[in-house]
Amino acid sequence: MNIELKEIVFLCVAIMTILPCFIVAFSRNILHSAFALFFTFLGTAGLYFFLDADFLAVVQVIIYIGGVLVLLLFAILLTRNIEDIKTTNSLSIKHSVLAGIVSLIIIGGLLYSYISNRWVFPLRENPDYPYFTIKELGDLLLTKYLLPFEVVSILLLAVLIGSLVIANRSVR
Amino acid sequence: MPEFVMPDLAPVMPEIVMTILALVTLIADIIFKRKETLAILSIASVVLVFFVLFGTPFKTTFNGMFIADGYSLFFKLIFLLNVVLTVLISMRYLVIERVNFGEYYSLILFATLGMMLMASAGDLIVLYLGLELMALSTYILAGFITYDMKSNEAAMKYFLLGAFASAFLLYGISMIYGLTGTTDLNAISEYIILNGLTANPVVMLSMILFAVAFSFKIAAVPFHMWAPDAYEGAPTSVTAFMSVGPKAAGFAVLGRVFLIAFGSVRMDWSAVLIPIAILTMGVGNIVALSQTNIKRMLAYSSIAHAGYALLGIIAGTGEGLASVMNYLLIYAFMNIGAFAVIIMLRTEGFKGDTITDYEGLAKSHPLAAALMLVFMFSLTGIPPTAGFMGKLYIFMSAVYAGYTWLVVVAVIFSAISAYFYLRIVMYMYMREPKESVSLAATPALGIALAITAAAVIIIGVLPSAVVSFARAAVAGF
Amino acid sequence: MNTILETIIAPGSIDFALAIGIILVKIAVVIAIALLHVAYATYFERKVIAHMQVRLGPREVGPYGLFQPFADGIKLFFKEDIIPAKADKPLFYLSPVIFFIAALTSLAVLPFFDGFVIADLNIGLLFLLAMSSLGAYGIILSGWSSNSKFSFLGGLRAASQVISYEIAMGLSLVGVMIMAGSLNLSDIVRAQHAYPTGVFVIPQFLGFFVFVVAAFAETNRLPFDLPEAESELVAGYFTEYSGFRFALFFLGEYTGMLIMSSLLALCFLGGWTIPRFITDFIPFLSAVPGIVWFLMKVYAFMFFYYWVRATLPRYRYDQLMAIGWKLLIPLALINILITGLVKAWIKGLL
Repeated sequence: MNIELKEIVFLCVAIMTILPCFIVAFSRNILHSAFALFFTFLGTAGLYFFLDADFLAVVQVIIYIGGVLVLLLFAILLTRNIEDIKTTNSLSIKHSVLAGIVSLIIIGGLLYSYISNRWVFPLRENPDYPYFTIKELGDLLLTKYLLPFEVVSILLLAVLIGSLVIANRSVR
Repeated sequence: MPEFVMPDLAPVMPEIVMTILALVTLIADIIFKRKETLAILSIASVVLVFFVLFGTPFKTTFNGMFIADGYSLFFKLIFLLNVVLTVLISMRYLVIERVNFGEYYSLILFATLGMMLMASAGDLIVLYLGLELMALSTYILAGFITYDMKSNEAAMKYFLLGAFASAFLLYGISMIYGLTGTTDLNAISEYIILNGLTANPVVMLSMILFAVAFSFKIAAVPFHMWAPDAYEGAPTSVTAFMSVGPKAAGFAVLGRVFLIAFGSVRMDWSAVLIPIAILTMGVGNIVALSQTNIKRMLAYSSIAHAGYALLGIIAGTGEGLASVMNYLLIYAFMNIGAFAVIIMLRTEGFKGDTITDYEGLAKSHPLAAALMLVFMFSLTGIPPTAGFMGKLYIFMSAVYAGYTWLVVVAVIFSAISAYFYLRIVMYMYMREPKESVSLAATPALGIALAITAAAVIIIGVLPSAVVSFARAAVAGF
Repeated sequence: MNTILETIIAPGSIDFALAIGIILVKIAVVIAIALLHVAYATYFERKVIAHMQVRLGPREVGPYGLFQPFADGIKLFFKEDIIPAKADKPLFYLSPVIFFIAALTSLAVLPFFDGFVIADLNIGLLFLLAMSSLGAYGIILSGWSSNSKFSFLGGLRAASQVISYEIAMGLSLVGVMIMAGSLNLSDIVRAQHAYPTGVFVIPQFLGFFVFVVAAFAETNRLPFDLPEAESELVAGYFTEYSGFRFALFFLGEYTGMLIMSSLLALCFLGGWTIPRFITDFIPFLSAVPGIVWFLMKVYAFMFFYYWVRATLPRYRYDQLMAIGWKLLIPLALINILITGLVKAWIKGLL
């Protein structure tokens, strides 16, 4: 019973992640496409929960839903005449077939490599397995991953300057 | 719970100094009204970093994430040189393009910091972050002339395809991490050898994804599509910057990742890189033949040069790596030199970037024409210029590694390239000037031209110093 | 199979079905109580503002107008649900639901008194921030799908306001996180009880100020109610809504206020505890149940909401943005810096 319920929950989350992807790809209304991403991001956060990555899950919601997608919606809403664009998904048959073949190859390759390999994950049998990740993440960021942590701060600063350069100049 | 231990900061000193000086430049932008001060400041900071660089001990720090060794030192020298030359040629140019803003210099310094981190990365995470720092700063620089549609287009294309390449890189990193459980380059290599994964499909897939991502960065065919548009549209000084720096940084990580992490699957990655190299040389040289815009032509030329340099990586030996480094240094001199001449032709109301603008330049401005002649000879690879020596060492190392047929192909393409380089020389010396071209020469530009021209000739005549330096740098790899 | 779900669903070794039953009852209780509070919060607001304006407020339905919220609810429920002809129907239907659900979900991590919390998440604070960003979608999409200028402008304003102030709010709470060393709301309350001042509002006065201002903006209340500024935008993003959908927005807004007040009470005012120096002085106060203290703090802040509404005029849009980006965010960053340095100093790391 225990496992059954969780599997049902997992299935719901997985469906919530995948189904909106089709709307994203095939909807003729660009706003519907963008909004469908909302559920995909939310579902991804749910999948992270299933992977025992609680911090990642919440950060996924805060950053992707609270930040990235809002900006995306903004960009769409502030663009003039966006509804007149009807050619958004007019892929030719040739392109669709090619894209389909490439996708199938990628899926096949991934499945094959998944099945054929022994993947090293910190397994739950491990006594050090972190059940709640936030403390471990904090410790690791300031010990083992100190350099990347600092570099990220510089990276964000550079991006901030860059965005100001573009935004500020074009106003003048 | 891991305890916080202060890491050894001595090997990272150049990067720390660079960060601080980039921030100082950023703040100085508010204080100084004359932006030339910032240019001088950034050159001074690069010189300071240069001195710090030579006092840095060769060590590994931050749990193996940062490697200071001869290899990274040599690449960092290329990056610093790139900054000095770029800043020298851009001082007047920015005024002419009416984008004389201080952020330009701090972005250049940030991009260079990213390249330095890439060259020293001992871990895939640092590598990726350095790459993003470099790339994001360069995207902004490419779109620096915000009122110009072409510059916007350049930034846009560069950004979209660069982001695409980053996705490939991340995909590769995630696969190799999933397989080996580590992002440390040495640990990955050990894991692959210990567990006998040399024929593993995931390793192959990950290696191919890395190859694709790095090919984007060094503009190798078939991942070169962004380069011509980005090079043509970006401000000329930025084109000079990004044709040397990011390319060299791309080669630095290519060498480090493929020779260390994927060292055990050398046969497989050379099988991937050889077709890329041939295509790169072929497409670069042949498409360059039909270009009428000189920046676009140099973009294809830059693609072709990446193809030659790939030969040294394919050789897979220390000698090959040393010849690549040597080549990239020489390429920095000759390419920025060529761009310096192009920038000189850009004056108020005159673009000066089509090839016909060079008609009869020898009559009106003999010195500029002579300098362009030197750089074009060097890019073609005609002795006694440095370009010849660079190619010679690369081809020699490839021959020693047993790739004679590949070298023959490269030489054939090199011969083809003579057509479009020498066409410019022909235009300058054998045609009559159609309209009077004035030059925007400044002392700074003069210094840049003097440095590059002198270096191209001196290295061409006395190549052994640079080559032995490169060999010594690779020795500790 | 999964620890987080297990700890949420089945703490300890209680039978699984029983655990599910308990949690469902908890959810039902919390939602029922929260909605009752929301209903009376509207009554409270009308009374408070009426008295501030020397009026009497609702007094027709029941004694002192006490049944007014129910009358309102019944009225809204039976009103016609009007949908504009050119509205984007799926989004129009969906957006009030998203808005309301995001607000209700936040209730899950709030500890109302010691041990009473639906999901004792280790990252409860982050979860609250995440949910408050979800609510913005209801607003943006209702603004767009209504196909009306007023709604659209209101939606855009709300979105930009919410993301701007979310940064300030998140940063203002970082000081609390540093001091408590946890993101779990119950742990934060316990850390405050162990702290000499008993509440974090004294050492974290900067963070408190930023949080209070950001809370007004996050819930779109006066003086930051630009998304529904009635004098220029009719009713902002829910101009076109009527009947029960309108009621959902209304409920969502008041639930949001309740959550912000609870968050403030939990993070800065000691939640269900009162400072130890007070109980040392007047010992019998420690016998008072924690929920009483908690509700007192929450309602004090709710009252502050109404007080501000009755007092301050609305800000201009550019002033709103300037306050957010140029005042609150730098202040919050300074607060983080100082808190971090002090903590490092206390721990002997400096």
